[in-house]
Amino acid sequence: MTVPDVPGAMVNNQFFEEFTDKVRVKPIPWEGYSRAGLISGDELRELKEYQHLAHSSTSGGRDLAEYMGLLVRLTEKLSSIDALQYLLVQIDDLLGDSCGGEQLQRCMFRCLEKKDDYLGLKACKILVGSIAGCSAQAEAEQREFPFARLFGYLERCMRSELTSVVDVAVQVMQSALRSRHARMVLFGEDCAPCLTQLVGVLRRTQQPLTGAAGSAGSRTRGVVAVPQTQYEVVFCLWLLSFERPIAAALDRRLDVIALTAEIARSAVKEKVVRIVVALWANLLRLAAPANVPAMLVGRVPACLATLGAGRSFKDEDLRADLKQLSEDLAEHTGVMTTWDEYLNELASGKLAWSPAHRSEQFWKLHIRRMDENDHRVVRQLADLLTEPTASETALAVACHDLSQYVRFNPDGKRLLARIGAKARVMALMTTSKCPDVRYEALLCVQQIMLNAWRN
Amino acid sequence: MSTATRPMNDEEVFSEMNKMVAFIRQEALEKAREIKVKADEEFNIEKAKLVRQESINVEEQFQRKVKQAEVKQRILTSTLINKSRLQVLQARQEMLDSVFSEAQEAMKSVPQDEAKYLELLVDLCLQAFVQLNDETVNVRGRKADTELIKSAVEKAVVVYKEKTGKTVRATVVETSPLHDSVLGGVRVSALNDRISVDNTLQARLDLSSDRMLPQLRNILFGQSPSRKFFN
Repeated sequence: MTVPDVPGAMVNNQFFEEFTDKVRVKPIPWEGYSRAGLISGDELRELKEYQHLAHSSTSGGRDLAEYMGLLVRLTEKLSSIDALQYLLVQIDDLLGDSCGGEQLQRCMFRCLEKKDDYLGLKACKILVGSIAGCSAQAEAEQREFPFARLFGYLERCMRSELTSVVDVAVQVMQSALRSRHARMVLFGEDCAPCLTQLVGVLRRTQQPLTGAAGSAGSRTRGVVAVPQTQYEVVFCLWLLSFERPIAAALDRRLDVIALTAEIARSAVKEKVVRIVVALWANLLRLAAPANVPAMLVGRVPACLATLGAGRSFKDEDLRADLKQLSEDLAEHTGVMTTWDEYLNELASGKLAWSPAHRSEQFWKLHIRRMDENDHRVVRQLADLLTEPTASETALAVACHDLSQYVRFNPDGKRLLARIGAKARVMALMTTSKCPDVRYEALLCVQQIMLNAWRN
Repeated sequence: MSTATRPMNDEEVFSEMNKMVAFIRQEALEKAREIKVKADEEFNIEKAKLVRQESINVEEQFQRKVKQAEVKQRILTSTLINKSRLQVLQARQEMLDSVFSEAQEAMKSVPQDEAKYLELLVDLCLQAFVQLNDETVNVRGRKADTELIKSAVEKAVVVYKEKTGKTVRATVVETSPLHDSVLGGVRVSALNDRISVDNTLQARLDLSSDRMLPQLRNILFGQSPSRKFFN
């Protein structure tokens, strides 16, 4: 038995497959179209030949390829949903791994605009298949391919209520992101909603844990089978992380490390862990400075240790990756002191109540360092106060830190007033919804006001 | 789905098996895809490295070739410049030579004008006497000019006495006359023929050819274009 090659566009969804089978046998009134003048007599004849060949032959690969042109032309001419579905199914069967032409791409894009989910997704699959087919040589062709349009359509699909639609959309993205140009496009300005939607699907897979118990009852939107969807989305993220600029900015933008850490901790299936570890390995390899802080805050090393010790994985690559990742991470964190950890926390933007924050010793020791580099740390804290996405814990901790700063460095009051942090803290004191934040802000203002007459 | 309460019949076994096969196939394809992705990345990295290396090499080779070509070009230019300089010099030399040979020809006609030639001989003798500054001198000349020389010498002695107040006893030596190739003029010698002033026409022609080269250059070829000082 010959080993099959990995297809360029791989979609494995039960609903999708069943629908395809139904379409294959659905009768289409070709003669009717011919009489109505929508298709010519020649085309009808050729179509009959094709159908005869396709159904009877076992070796007709060569001949069938010639009919591709015919099928594309018919797709352009007709607009009935049934006929189009049939044609697309045939095109998909024929396409295999070869490169489609421009005309094919135009047709498919037109199909995206018809309001049929199956049609659109099938067209996407064909598009991605044709791109994958010519990926070897045609870098330039890839650059011209309008991925943005494709991703726009897929974004709409991922918001759908139907689980299989979302599933197929994610799978199409898996294949599309094989192309390097596609990755950069997805990470660009235009396709940001699509990327957010993708991560949103991943987030939704985590929610059943907090909702009602029982997986069958609370099937959340778009989640066909939790491990499979997780695998697929993280696969997409993994593909994205191969590009250096994306690896550096991915976590900042989408907070993936924390999310994937949760998933890895609770994953049952080995392949989910495998793909999450691969993602982390990429992030670390390509953009360590940007991702190490986030990894430490997300408690990744602990997670890795648990995984390494607890389960014995069957996959050798996974075991090797796990070991490698733990070592690399340990290397990066080996020389870090408490102060460095604090800087890490600050850099990742997720301040939390760690013992360091509460200890007076910590502040007394490092007060000078906060003033280094033109008061960089203080400014970072102040920026955190104004950042709209900061969590309430982070705000509270930031206020607390600033109050400690002022306490041990009286001149800090002037600095805070100068950079506008004082005003911000006062605002937080009155307007923030979280009582912790108000409390900490109050304390901070108290510190600022204390002995204010001295200045 | 049938539970373990009754054994499955053939169809169910078949369908279960097919499902399992399909599942395994799917898992395998997924893993294969991961491997392929990693392989593609490694390929890209390797290819980029090789391309960069080779393009550096090609760049170096190109620079080297450019430099070689430049050097060759410069050598060629300087060779050609040299060659053309030599040609110019050669042409100038030929011109000079032709001027000298014409002068030589013209010189031959000088002794034909007897009156003027006599004056010339007187002056030549006088100049020689002054230079030698001796009381006894011997005068030699061409065989054909002997008579003229004798009268010239007499006159010259008188003028010499007038001009300097010194007496000179000049003897015309007829026994060893000068060769015809001197074209005329006199050779005056003193101190037993140990010191002589060669005032023959040929000698004077040679002298002036040499001494007048600067002026000749100016007349024939104009001033040198890069000359800056004219005082």
